[in-house]
Amino acid sequence: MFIARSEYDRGINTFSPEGRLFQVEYSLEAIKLGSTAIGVATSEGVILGVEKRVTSTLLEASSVEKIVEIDQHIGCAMSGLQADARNLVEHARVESQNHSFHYAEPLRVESCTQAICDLALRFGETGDDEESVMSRPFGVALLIAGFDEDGPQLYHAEPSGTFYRYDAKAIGSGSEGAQAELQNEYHRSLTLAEAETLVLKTLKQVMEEKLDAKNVQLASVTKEKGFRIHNDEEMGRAVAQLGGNQ
Amino acid sequence: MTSLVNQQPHSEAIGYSFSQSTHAPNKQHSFYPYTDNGGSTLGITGADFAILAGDTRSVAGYNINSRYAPKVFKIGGDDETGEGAHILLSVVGFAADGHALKERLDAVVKMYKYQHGKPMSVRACAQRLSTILYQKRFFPYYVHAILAGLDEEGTGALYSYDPVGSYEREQCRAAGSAASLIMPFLDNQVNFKNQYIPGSGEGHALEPKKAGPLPRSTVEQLVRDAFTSAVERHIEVGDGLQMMVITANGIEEIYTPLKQD
Amino acid sequence: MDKLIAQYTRSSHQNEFYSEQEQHDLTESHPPLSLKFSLPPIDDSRAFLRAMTDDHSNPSCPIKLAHGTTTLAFRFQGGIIVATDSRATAGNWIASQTVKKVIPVSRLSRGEDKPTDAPTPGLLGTMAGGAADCQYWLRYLSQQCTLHEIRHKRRITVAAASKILANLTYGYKGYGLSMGTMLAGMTPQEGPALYYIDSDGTRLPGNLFCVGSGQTFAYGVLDANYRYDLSEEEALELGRRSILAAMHRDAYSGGFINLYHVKEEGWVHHGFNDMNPIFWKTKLEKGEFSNVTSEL
Repeated sequence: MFIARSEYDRGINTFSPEGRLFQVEYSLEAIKLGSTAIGVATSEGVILGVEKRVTSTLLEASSVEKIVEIDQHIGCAMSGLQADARNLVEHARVESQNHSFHYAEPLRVESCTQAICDLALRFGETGDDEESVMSRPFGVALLIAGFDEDGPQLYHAEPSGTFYRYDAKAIGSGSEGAQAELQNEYHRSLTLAEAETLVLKTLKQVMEEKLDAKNVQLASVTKEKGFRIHNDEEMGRAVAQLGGNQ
Repeated sequence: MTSLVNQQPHSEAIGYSFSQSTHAPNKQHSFYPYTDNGGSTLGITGADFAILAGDTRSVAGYNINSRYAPKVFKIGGDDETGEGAHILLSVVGFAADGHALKERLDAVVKMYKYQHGKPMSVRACAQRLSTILYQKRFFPYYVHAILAGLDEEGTGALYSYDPVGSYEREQCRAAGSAASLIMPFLDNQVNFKNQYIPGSGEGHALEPKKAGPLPRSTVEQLVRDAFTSAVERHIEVGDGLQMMVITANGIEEIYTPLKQD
Repeated sequence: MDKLIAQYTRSSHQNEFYSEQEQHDLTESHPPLSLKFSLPPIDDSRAFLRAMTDDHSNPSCPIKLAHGTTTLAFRFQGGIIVATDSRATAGNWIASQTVKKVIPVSRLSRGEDKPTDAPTPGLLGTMAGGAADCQYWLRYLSQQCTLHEIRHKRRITVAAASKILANLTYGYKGYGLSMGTMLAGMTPQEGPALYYIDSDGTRLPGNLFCVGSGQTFAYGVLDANYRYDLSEEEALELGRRSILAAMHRDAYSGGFINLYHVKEEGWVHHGFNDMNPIFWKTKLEKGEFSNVTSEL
């Protein structure tokens, strides 16, 4: 893929003669090293699931935070460099609050995703009074799940600043296998509970460790409850149910 | 703002801030960027419509500078004619500030549509207008604004503002130089203040008349009556009455001449 | 040199429409945190503002801002009672009789005005002084509290929230903001907590406050009957009665009695009621206000 790799892959503001920005392309590669994250949208709501990669028994699993709240009605799952994600998430949180401050209504999920992607290309040298956020592209991809007047939605945002809406999407190291699995299993009439099982089942297939209630995390976005991260009890129940199904 | 009543310095005993000397002679400030262009505006809502009206006279002191200077504007239209607009704004006070405010709000509403892919709701617009006004808290727009439209349920919605953006949703509101003439009339005729149901009781047992949404024809007539009466007793109001009616079918503009003296 | 040339070759009409900054403001709903307020193009903007808007020192000022008036809040064994009148005056013109002077400080995206019987989580702020100042900055405070809640995964304490507001008003000291506000809330860390914050930068914790032009009248009734161990019914009645006294004696107070009770789970609204029937009920049934004749 990167035959033309040369001095052009070092500058972040220089196109290669073939018209490529290597650093941006490399940042997409960085995500493939990250832990797997999956999102599935149904008509009832959206389910997010991530693998936690608990690398040591001494590691406190609850401190691995890969699903975070952006606003009452929007949450996101991440894969890649987590510190970079914090930047994006903080931006999205402030943007969402600003919107409700000025317009007395919740920010739309698409607009929120757009706000995150606007930040994604604010790297490198900048103009006069524009503030530069990063010296390199972000090394993280986000799955943004939310509920607004258009119903439940799932977006995938990349370091390149592009975003697409998906019914079901997997990112991270296990994404290829997981995406294929989602492709086979997804249908429009999935219920929220079925989506939960689908996410767990898919994660189980692509994870190296054995899936248990500690090394995965689920969250949901619904109209009634907004964004909610599953607590230990709900996680235990979901994982137990998965075991029972097989 | 010109008022019929003499303004007396009041002794508002608030518990904070050292009081400024009220007896100091009023300083003459060379920087005075405002003119009161007079006129009055009025808005009333109903079950499925909202009416925003204003006279079209423009004054500076006792000079009448224009007999047709509109005070009610369409917000968020597709072109200069305001076609396709779904929100109304009236401004009274300093016309230049009012115009700047209208242009700004119009631009914001249009940008919102492009950015979020949907028309801005009146509720959202009301909040945004408040923050726009407050953005100039330390150099205010000399303007009393009223915003009208239809809410999510299709009911008429009316929001009134002070010059720096405090706002409230109301059934009816008059602003401008004749507000003190029109507002008491509206209290009585729209909100049925101090109206009681005849024969419902004696003395303190008299039941107050319940206010409800009025039909459109009644409201239009109230607006005309309010303005013809204000013209009789206020020098800054007259020439023409511009009435904008917003319903689910769009915005209708009605012009009625008023006395030209 | 290039810069110098550029400076003088710019068309003087370049900024005729929106400046670049303004363009940006239109497209981005910029954070109120950046506090970009436009100032008049003169040296002493404060004197300008006072001359234009302060009807206290200059009764014939051209821009009359709406002012709020009697508000009170007190702690008791069952939580906190918050009560206000509803009149807004601009000079001696009653600009409105239906102002909501209790402003919920809670998640903005929750939609503030949804009527519900269940307690709503969050703090309550009251509004005295400039209506716009209170509305805007309490809204700003809501935003900050929500961000705090999302970032730290727990609700902000009343102490912290009041500190945000006090720091803010202190930062704008002398610019002519006018607000006297009380923040009431109940958190697991603090229990019922009540703070008074004003535009001078004052921040005081306390059991009982009355703020506004009618404060003295409200204090009179409240101090005479206040006990910490009031029952919920008694406390609500005392709040109502104190506001009623202020409405009766203070010309700048009136309209409707707005009553709230802050409990552990959140706040509950106890009505926005016309003072007139309440006044006559108090007079005729309890024999109070005997200075007023009951003959019609």
